[in-house]
Amino acid sequence: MTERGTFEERVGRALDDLYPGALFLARGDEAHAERILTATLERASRGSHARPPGTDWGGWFEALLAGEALRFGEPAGEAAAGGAPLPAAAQAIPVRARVALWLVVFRRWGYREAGELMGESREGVVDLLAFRHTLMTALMGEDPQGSGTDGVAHS
Amino acid sequence: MVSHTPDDRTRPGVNEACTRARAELWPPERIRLAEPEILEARVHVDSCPVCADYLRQDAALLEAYAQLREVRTPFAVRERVFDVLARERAGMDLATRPPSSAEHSGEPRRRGVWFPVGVGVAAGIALLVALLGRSEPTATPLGPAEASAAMVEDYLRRAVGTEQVETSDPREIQRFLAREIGVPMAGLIHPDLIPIRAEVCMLDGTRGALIQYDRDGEVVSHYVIPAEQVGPREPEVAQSMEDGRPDAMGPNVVTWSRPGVQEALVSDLPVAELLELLRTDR
Repeated sequence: MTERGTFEERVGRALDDLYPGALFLARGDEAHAERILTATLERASRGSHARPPGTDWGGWFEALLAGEALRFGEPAGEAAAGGAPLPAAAQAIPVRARVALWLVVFRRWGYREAGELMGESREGVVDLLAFRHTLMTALMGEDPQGSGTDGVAHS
Repeated sequence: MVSHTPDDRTRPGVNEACTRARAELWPPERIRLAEPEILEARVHVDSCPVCADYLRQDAALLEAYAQLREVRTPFAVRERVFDVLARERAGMDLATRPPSSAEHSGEPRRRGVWFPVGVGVAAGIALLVALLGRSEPTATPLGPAEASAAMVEDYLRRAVGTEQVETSDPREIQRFLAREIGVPMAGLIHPDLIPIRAEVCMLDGTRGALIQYDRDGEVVSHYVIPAEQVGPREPEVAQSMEDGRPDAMGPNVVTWSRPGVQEALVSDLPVAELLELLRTDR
């Protein structure tokens, strides 16, 4: 996907896509979500001039956001009560699993690309994605048996 | 984005057939030809509760994320993000801008040489100087760096702003201004001015509004900036910031104020026509 416009216009269009992702990655901590989002776009601003023609800006922003989520790690504080159910459920899984799930399950990144971004092998990504069932359980209160994706301890 | 299939072959209840079927069918939203391996995978999923549950779970998580995507970036967050970007960009501009010969020679700087935003910035800089100079008579004129940072901020906000209304209805503009900046006015009322839009702007940290009108094909920009300490003042032609010379490049600016509100018209129209528009309105 190529987009036209200034960097700021691209950011303006992408912001509402990135913010929910930041909320999920920050497990619902709004201050933390804003921190990683801001850091992402600062980094993007510094690197935008070097992007080649035809850049998938949305994908690049997502990569940077995932990178910042990993760099910042877990939020220091507790997530606020209430809010959207998915970020609240994400409190049940560690940050690396949140990043893997966000990239692959929600943003439909490939395993290989996600693994390269995260410094994980394909098997490592597979292991992290097994947290999907923990997430689902926290989200829906599902029976943890059945989809064949449980069995990975929460670390 | 190249997609790979979730592979849970090491998980309890998942066998080789499950792995192959998921490899063929994930992500399920992708359109596929009904080739033999796809049909075989579908047959497997139809008969495998583990895989069927896996795909249901995938759909449920996507649905949950779709609901989360309805969360819009709060305006305050958006403002703070773009404040940071504005500072970042202004700093970069100043750090990377090569010294121009005009600066060394003392000649007026041509607009757009190092800040490629165009006429809007020139208008805004002139307006900033006009309004700030008026509200703080002892203040020194803004230097290029300060004007750049302030106008980058305003440009970014308008480039990405979500708070705007496109309308020719003065009543709608009145509601917008009342809601967004607490100034219940309908803009300029003049038979030759057709409102186009109104939007939030930010000048030197103050939230205001920009109303744009069409006047026989020319755009006339009308800034409305709340300012508590300001009293009434008759319209005056503002000098451009370019060395204070009225003949310098840039749009024409007329400023005036009413209690609590500073206003300005910025346009390429002749000053006499801008003043005439105000005489009729006022």
